[in-house]
Amino acid sequence: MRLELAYYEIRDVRFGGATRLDDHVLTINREELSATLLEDERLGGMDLALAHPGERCRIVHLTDIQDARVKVSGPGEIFPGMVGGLAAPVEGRTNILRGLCVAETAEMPGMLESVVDMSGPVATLTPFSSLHHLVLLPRPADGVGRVPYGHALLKAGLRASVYLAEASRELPPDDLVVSELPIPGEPTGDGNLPRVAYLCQVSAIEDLREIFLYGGRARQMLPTLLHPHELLNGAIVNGIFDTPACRRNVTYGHVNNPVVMELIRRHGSDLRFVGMIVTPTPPTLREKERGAAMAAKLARYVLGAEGIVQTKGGGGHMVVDHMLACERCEELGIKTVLLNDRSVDTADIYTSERADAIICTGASGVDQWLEAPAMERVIGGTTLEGGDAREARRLPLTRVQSATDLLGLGRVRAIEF
Amino acid sequence: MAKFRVLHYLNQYFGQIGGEAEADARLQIRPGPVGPGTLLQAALGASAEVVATLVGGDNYVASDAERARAEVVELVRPWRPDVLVAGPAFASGRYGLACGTLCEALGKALGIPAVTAMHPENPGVELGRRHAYIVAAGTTARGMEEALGRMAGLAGKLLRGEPVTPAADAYIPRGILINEVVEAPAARRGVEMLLAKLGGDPYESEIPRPRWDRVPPPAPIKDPALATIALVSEGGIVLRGNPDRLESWGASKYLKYPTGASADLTPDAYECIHGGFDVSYACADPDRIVPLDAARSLERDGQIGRLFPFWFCTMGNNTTLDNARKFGAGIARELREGGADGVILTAT
Amino acid sequence: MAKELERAGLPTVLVTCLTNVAEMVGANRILAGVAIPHPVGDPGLAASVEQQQRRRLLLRALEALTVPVEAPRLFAVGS
Repeated sequence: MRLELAYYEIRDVRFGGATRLDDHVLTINREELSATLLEDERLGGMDLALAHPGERCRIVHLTDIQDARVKVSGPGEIFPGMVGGLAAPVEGRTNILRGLCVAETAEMPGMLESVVDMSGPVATLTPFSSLHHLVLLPRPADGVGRVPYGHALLKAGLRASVYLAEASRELPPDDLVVSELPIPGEPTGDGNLPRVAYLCQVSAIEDLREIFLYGGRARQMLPTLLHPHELLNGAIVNGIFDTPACRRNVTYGHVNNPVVMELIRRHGSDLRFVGMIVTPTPPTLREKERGAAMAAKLARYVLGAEGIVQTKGGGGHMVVDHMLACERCEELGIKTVLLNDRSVDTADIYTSERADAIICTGASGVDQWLEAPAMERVIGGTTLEGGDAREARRLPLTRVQSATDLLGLGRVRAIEF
Repeated sequence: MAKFRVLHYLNQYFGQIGGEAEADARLQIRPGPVGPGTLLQAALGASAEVVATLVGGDNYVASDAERARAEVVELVRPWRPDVLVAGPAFASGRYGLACGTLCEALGKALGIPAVTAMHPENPGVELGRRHAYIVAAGTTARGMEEALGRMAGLAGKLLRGEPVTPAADAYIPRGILINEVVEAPAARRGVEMLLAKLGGDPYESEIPRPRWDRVPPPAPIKDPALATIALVSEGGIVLRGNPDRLESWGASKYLKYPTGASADLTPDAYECIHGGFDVSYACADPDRIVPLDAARSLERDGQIGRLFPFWFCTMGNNTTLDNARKFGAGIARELREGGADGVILTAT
Repeated sequence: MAKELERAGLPTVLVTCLTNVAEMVGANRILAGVAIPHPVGDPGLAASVEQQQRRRLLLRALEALTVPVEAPRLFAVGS
């Protein structure tokens, strides 16, 4: 299956007349975009704001973040089942605006905070500080509860993502990455290269803390196969807003999944990327054991994997699913590498001797504090943890979006002293 | 230039007071090095002096840490040490605990660095590693010279303000995690590690496995029909409205509620605020986490002698190990004082 | 927490769904609970049946408290 990822470099974003992309500058028609997004009756109002790398600007109350991408040729559409139709988007071409993201903020009392600073020490620790932001500030319509509001703001982000990417449709890309990955049963290429698969753990606990797969709920799911191109075209979107920001797998992370991109990069030269498995994190040990066993058998008997890279969908008890899957894979002769975050104060409650190859995506614990400087401008709210959001403060790392990202978007590794 | 002043702690045996019979020996201090302290002095060289040796019986410190903490500061203060060197304790559990306790107490009170040495599985490691630098040692005193040499080296660096790392200075990681910005992204490192593993090449995991200490199992209760049984939980059950403000992420306390005359926990009076799972089931019936109804009914039927008059609850989501230990110890104290014989602890 | 209670000499039975975690961490008396959100309950059962299940679980827990153990031990709930 051949998927072309056509990248368009964005060097600036501004509001203006017609929405267009010209010489790496994206102009957005504010009124047109707001009006389109407000077609969703669950929303009663929509403000839009822009933020640029290097500004003394802080974005607070973030829920999800996407990039801007649209499928311009081939079957299937971006975000199938959510915004696009249900046909699988496995091949063709997808346009991606690189250097830009779409972020949604919402004031939901009791929700865990997520912050991005566009400059300063906090900016160093979030991958989003180096991107131009279109920030959506949607407000719920009267009488709309928390859950429908949450769904609506995610939908708005996805629709904005497509709307912006459309500006690139007729233009030649700055960069083209071609991914040619087999489907099970097809020849995979050089038989001397190891067969490697990707195990993507996702979390689906309850409303506003679940991913959507093809727009469907994942709470009762059993491990299943996904073609990596489906992931890049938005088959999984993030509806988890109420989890520590440092390890919240936002939609941006799913569509730009670093493990998938790395495996695509090396397919045909160091390895054969034979496919991926999506596996859930159910709430009982028995179901966790079942999930691990089924994920491993899909890897071994359907994908024929010799090696597998695993990522987590969240913290806490999800490390149990992570370790169990590792054990089941190793037992079937599949060599495993796990990406894992760490926290000495809470520690991983379950580890395995077979998990001997772990990559650390950073530590978020009580001793990780940052000196966040005062900012000139705040988007998304006026207060932050009870204080004025513009003020300088000590900020726990757990509030910094994707600082210890479980998919590997972050930039840190923890060393123990 | 003035020499650094070193205080050395030894137990009753190495401090030449006596053997197991002297394990209750009070804390006492004498000038200069004692026993292995002379080896320590040799390892330290000319820039530091073992000005005094603190000796205490293994039981004295381990059995009453509060008392030891209070006494030791006043005993040691007049000697104005710049650093504390304790042990090595090797595999001796009480000695290791004593070293850990004293390192913490003196380190905090006098603001000085503390260095000790013990086997990595010594229970003193868990207690002491945040407060002291614990050199990894063997199980027996055959490793004395090597351990003292390492302790001296580490103490020297700490006194001179030089940076130290577990790898270079042979100490057990203290559980302090520092995030460093790295060039190579995690995914790249992961695929490379996998290729190494597949190719039979060496690789090193970036996260070591944690060690968990073992607690000797308490003796069983003879007959529950004659026993006082307490209910404890980390499941986040609180009074409706959460007036005691128990957190949903990272608990800072535990709560104590009277069982009173209640026959069960009802949803109009209680709710679940745990941040780690779907709380709707427990909110619909809090007994699904704190089984008061079943416990009451067993008490009525005589299968439980008596239900402890209070039940205890904290919230386990993202709660630190340090806090969990504190809560456990606090609840244990209250249960023992109240005459509890056994505990049913429900976890989510 | 279980280990702190045990360190103080209180026989403690830890009722948890994640028994593998309990064994790893080193709690000495472990009883398998129903599920993470409801260790001693089951919303899938009729109320009276659920109550019976809870009673049975507690009886088994009490039994575990009377058994001498040497090391972490998992007690099965039984039929």
